[in-house]
Amino acid sequence: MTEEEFLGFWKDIQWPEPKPVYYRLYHNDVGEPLFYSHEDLPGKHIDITPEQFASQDHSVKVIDGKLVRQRQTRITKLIPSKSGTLCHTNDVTVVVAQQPGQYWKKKQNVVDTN
Amino acid sequence: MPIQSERGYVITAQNSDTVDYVACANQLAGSIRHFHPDAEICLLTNAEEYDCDLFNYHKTFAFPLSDNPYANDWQVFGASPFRQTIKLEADMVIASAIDHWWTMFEHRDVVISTGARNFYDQPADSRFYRKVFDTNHLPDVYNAITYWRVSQTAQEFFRLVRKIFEHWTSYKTLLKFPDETASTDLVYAMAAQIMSPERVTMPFATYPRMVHMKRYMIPTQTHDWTKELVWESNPLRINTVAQWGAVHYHLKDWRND
Repeated sequence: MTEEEFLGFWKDIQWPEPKPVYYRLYHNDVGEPLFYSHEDLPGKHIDITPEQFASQDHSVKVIDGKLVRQRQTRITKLIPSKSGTLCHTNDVTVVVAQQPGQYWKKKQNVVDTN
Repeated sequence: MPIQSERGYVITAQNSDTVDYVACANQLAGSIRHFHPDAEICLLTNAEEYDCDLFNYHKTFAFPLSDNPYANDWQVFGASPFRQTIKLEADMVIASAIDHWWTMFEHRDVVISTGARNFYDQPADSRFYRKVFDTNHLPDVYNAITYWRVSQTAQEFFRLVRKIFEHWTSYKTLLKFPDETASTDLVYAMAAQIMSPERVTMPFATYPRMVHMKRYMIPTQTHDWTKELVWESNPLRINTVAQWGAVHYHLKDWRND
């Protein structure tokens, strides 16, 4: 190869268009994450930052098109039941010894606090 | 609907794809009947079939502006069969006797309730849902409880409400940071401001009282207060606090918890 051919090669070469790099989180209809992907695939998705992509966090939710870290908390509350503590029919604060009354027991709910 | 009675409650229930407001209206009517067995109650609904045992009057109502369900509100003025009407939103329950409301209302032509309370019966301080009202210095009205008597003032008010709904794109330019879609509360507030708030509200009155169970008004950690708070019925108590007046429960299926 001559110097002329060498320079001509670099002058004429057509570089392929660089493929866009996607940083995407695909999610379902209610905003729960399905998978992270660099590919352009069918389905609902949002574009995210490389840092968010790198974290591959599945404790997130898509709310109004934004990635929101899903925060959950456990809340314990009393609910009417067939067993538990017998209380007055109309007042949960009054514990009674015998029927008529209403049993109440504790229930734990795990809820999103976003 | 022609005038058929002196006083009564009107409940509007426009069913959507997700919410059966007629069921809510039935629950509300039942709670009114619990305290006032002889109350006159009218249901206005777009539903074709419904259980109407609790209602003295009922009407399937062709709400013409179906694209925005809120925009139908002004029609209740013409549809009410009462000379004096208290309009109640369907997703509420009445937790105590409310017949004393009439005593105060009957001296006025229009009364829109103002201010909301949390379930501790304290004024709900959060302005989270009321930013547009505060920014534009609008009265803090809640259309969920609205009284009117057949009068020129009421006619003027509802004409104005209709006008604002129908020309929202023009009216919203009067506001800073307006909502894209007209909400009934905002439209009522604008109409009240135009007519002057003292003609259509009683901000210093102790009733009508409305407890609003929205997250930031109560406040709770989540939107679903039923996951967090203990409630008992007959009488309605939330976290052991007895409720009074109207309770806007906000979650339509709260009793299924």
